[in-house]
Amino acid sequence: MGMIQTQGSVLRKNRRDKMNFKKTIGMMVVLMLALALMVSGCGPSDSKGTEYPKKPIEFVVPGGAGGGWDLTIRTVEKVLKDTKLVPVPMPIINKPGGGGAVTLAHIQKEKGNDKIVTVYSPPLLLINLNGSTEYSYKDTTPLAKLIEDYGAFVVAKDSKYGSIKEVMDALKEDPKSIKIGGNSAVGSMDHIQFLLVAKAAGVKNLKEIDYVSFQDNAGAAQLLGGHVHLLSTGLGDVKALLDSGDLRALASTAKERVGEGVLADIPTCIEQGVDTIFINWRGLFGVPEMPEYAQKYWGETLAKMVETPEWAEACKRNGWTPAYADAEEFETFLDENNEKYKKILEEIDMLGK
Amino acid sequence: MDTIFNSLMEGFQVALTPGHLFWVTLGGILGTIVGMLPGLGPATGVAVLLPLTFTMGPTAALITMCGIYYGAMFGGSRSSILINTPGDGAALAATFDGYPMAQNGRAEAALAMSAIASFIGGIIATVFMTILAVPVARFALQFGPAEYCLLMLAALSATASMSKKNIVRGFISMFLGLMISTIGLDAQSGVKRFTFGILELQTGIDFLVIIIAIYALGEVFKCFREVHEGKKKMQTKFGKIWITKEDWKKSWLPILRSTPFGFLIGALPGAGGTMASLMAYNNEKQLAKNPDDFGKGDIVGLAAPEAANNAASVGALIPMMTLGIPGSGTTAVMLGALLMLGLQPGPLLFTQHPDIAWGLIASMFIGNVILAIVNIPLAGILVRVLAIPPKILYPIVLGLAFIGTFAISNSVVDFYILIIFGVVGLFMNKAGVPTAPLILGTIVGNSMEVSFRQALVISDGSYGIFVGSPIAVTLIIVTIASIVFPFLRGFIKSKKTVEA
Amino acid sequence: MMNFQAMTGIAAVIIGIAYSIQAYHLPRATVGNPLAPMVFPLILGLLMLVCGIILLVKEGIKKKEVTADQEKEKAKPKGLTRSTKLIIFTCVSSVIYALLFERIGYVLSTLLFMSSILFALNGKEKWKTNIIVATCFSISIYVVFLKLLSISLPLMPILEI
Repeated sequence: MGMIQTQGSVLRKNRRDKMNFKKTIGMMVVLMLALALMVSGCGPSDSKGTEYPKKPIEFVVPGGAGGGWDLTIRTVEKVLKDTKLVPVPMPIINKPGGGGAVTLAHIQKEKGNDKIVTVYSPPLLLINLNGSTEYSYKDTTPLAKLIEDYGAFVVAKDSKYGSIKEVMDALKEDPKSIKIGGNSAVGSMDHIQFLLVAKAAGVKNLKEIDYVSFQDNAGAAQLLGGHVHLLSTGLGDVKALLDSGDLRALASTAKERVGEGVLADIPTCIEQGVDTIFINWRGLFGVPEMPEYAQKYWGETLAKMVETPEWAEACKRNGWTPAYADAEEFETFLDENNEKYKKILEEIDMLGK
Repeated sequence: MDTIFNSLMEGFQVALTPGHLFWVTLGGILGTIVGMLPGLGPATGVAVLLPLTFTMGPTAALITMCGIYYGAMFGGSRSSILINTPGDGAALAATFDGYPMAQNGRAEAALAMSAIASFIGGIIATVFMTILAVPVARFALQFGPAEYCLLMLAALSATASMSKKNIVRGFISMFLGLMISTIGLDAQSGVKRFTFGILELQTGIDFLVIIIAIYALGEVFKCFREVHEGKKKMQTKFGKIWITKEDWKKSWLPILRSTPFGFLIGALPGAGGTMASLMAYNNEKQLAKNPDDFGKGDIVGLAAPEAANNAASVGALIPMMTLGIPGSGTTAVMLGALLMLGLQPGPLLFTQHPDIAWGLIASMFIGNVILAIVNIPLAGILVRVLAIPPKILYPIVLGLAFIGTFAISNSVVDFYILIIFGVVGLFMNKAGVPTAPLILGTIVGNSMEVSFRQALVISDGSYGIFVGSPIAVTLIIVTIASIVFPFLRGFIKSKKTVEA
Repeated sequence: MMNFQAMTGIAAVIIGIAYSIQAYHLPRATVGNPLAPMVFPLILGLLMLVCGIILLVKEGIKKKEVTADQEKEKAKPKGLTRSTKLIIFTCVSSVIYALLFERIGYVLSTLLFMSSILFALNGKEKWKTNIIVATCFSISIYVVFLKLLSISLPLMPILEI
C-alpha cells in the first residue's frame, strides 16, 4: 500500500517536473521573442552603396578599461559618433597585456583587415626596444597622431623636496635615497621619462635608482601614504589631487607650461635648468597592410574630426594638447622618436638584444 | 553631522526623481542579468553597458552605473547558488554553502537570503561611507606594499586552512594557484615567464577562465556521472521552504559582523570583494558553534560572505570618490566614465559637484533597496532554472562557459586553458583537494608577488619591512592564527569531551 | 591501485620539482636585481615540494585506514567508465569546437558543438529537443552578446559577415 502511494507521488512529481519544464521553456521562448523585437529595432542600419565603411569598425584598446589608451579611443569614438562623421558602430574591445604587446601580436594575425583601428603611445616603441616584443611600430599602419600629453613628477604636500633640482642633487649624493614610483612597467614610459630627466640633470648611476612599478594606477595612493617619495606620472592623471593640495608637482616634461589652473602653475624641467622634454603622444593605428582606401578614409575622417568643437572640448576636459599630424608626418615622427628612445635605453642598459 | 544629513537629503532629492529611479532600476536589472553569465562580472558588466550612459547627463549616468554595478554583484551569486558557477571572484564564497543549500531543496531560501544579506551589508556600508569616508581613506593609505603582501598572505592562508582535515592539500591547491599567476610577462621586469613561446600566454591566464573551468566545467563533469547513475537530486518544490526563524536567529549577528569587516577591506585599493567575502566566511566558520556544518548548506556560511562582499563593493568606491584612485577593476571603469563625462573624481568632487557626489551616495541607498525588491521575487523565478532537466541544463552551462570565456579576452587560446583546467579541477575534486585556495591564488598571486618585490625595493632588500609597522605585525599574527586556530579548537574540544 | 591522496602527494612533488627547475632557468632581468623575477617562483616551487612530501609521509603513516575507500571505488567501475567516456567525448568536442570557432565562425560551430553534446547526453531519441535547444542557445547568445552587449564574436568568416 505504502509502495503504491509512493509510486503515485513519484508520478505526480514527474508530471509536475514536466509542467515546470514546459513553463520554463515557454518563458524562455517569450523572453527570446522580446529580445528579438528589441534588437530588430536597434540593429545597425544597412548603409547603401559599396563605399567604405559599411561594416562595424572594431576599436581595439591595447590596455584595460579606464587607462590612458582606453580613454583616448573612447573619446575618439564618442566624438566620431556625436558628430556623425562615421556612420557605422565602433565597438570597443579591450585586449590588454604585456604593456600593449598582446594587441600588437593580435593585429599581426589580421594583416590587410580594413575593420580594425587601435591606439598607441610611446610604449609601442619602448616595448620593442626593451625586448618585450619582437614586433615594432613598423608592423602597424600609422593613421594619425592626435594628442600630446606630458609627464609630471609629483611629491606629497609635506615632502622635503621643493624642486626637481633638489631631487636630482639628492640622487647624485646617494642614488638609493629616493624611491621613485610609477604606474607603468619597468623600462616603459614613467620609468624612462624620469631617467631621461635624471640623465639631463647629470645624475651618474642611473641603473642604481630604484623604480617601483605599481599596477592599476595605485601609485598616487602609495605616494600619499608615504611608501614612495616621488611619483613619475602623466600630467592629467593626478590633476584632482593637485587641485586639492594633497600632492605637489615639482616639474613637468613639457616644453613650456600647458593647460590652465593648477596645471599652468607647474614649472617645466627646462625652467629649472634641466634641459629635456618628454612627450607622451597618442595616435591611431591600423593593422599592417591596411588597404589603401581604408587608410585614406581614416586619414580624411580624423583630419575632419580634429577640427570639430566637440574634439577641442574633449581635449580641454582631459588636459590634452591637440597635436594632429597626418600619417606621413606621423611616420617621420615615429622614426625620429624610435632613434631617440633607443639611445636612452642604451644608456640605461635596457635595450633588448 | 547636520551638514552631512542635509547634503544627503539633497542627494535624495536628486536621486529620487522618476527618471533617475527608472535608470537605477533598469541598470540594476541589466546588471543582474549580465552578472549571472559566467565570466561577466561587475567590471565587464559596467564596461559593456557603459555606452548606455553616454547620452545621459552626468548624474543619471553615474546613478545608472551604480545600478549596474550592484546588479552585477547581486547577479554573480545567483549562478553560484543555482549551478555552482560564480559569475565573478567575489561570488566564489557563495558557492560554499549556497549551492549545498540549493541541493538540499532550499534554493529559494538561499537566493533570498543572499539578496537580503547583500542588502543589509550594502545599506550599512553606505551609512559608513556617508560618515566615515575620509578617515577610512586615510587608514587605507597606511597600506604600503609590505602590508598588501601580508594581507593577501593572510587571506590565502585562511582560505587554504579552511578545512582542518586536509590543510596540506589546501596549501597545495593554493601554491598551484599562485604558480598559475606567475605565468606571463613579469610586470616589473618584462621577463617572459613560463610562456613556452605561446604569445597569448604573455598576458597571463585570467582568473575568470580558471573559475569557469573549475566550477562550471567541474559541475558539468560531475553531472555526467550523476545523470547516468540517476542520482541527480533536483528541487521540484518551489516556495515551500522559506527562510525560517531559526535561520534569522543564526544569521543576523554574522551579517552585522561581516559588514564593517568587508567595508574596510573593500576600501583598500586593489583588495576587493573576493578577499573580503572569503575572509568573512572563514571568520564565521571559526566563530561558529558547529564549524563542521559549514560547506554543507549552513545559511550563515552564505549570509556572512554575501554581506561582506556587498559592503566591500561600497568600500571600493571610497578611494575613487575621495582620492580619484580606483579601488577595483569596476571602479576603474567608472572612473574612466566619470572623466568622459567631464567630472574629476577626487577630494574636490564633494565641494565642486555636491549634487553629483551626494546624489550618487543617495542612489546607492536606493539602488540597494530596489535590487533587494527586484531580487527577492526574482528568486522564485530563477529557481525554475533547476526545473530544466539536467541533460539539457548542463549542455547549456557548458555552452555559456565557452562564450563567457571568449568574452573575457576575445581569444580562442583561452578555450584550451578552459579545457585543461576543467580536467585539472575534475582530478582535484576526485582527490579531495579544495579548489577555492587555487582560485584565490590565481586572483591575488600577481599582486602579491608584485607587492612583495615592491616592498623589497623600497627597503633595499631588507625583510625587516614585513614586520616594520603595527599593521604588518597584526597581519602576521592573523596569518599564523588562521592556521593554528582550527587545531587548537579541535584540541580543546577533544579535551573537554574526555573530561566529561 | 594507488589512492588519490598518494597521487596528490606525488603530483605535488613532481610539479614542485619541475616548476622550480623551470624557475631557476628563467631569464635574468636587465634592470634592478637580475634575480628578482625568479625569487617568488622559486619559493613557490620549493614550498609545493615540501607540501607534497608532507602529504606522502602522512599517507605512509595511515596507509591501512584508507583501504575501505578503495573498496567503494572498485564497487562501481561500470558507472565510472560510462561517465569517463562522456567526459573524454566532451573534451574532444571542446577541442574541435575551439579549432572551428574562428574558422567557421561562432554560429555554426556552436550549433555543432551544442548538438553533439546534447545528442551524447540527452540521447538520439530526443533529437527534436536537442536541435531546438542548440539553435535557440546559439541565436539567443548571439542576440545578447553581440547586439545588447556589443561583445564581438566571429560570425561567419566564410560568408564575410
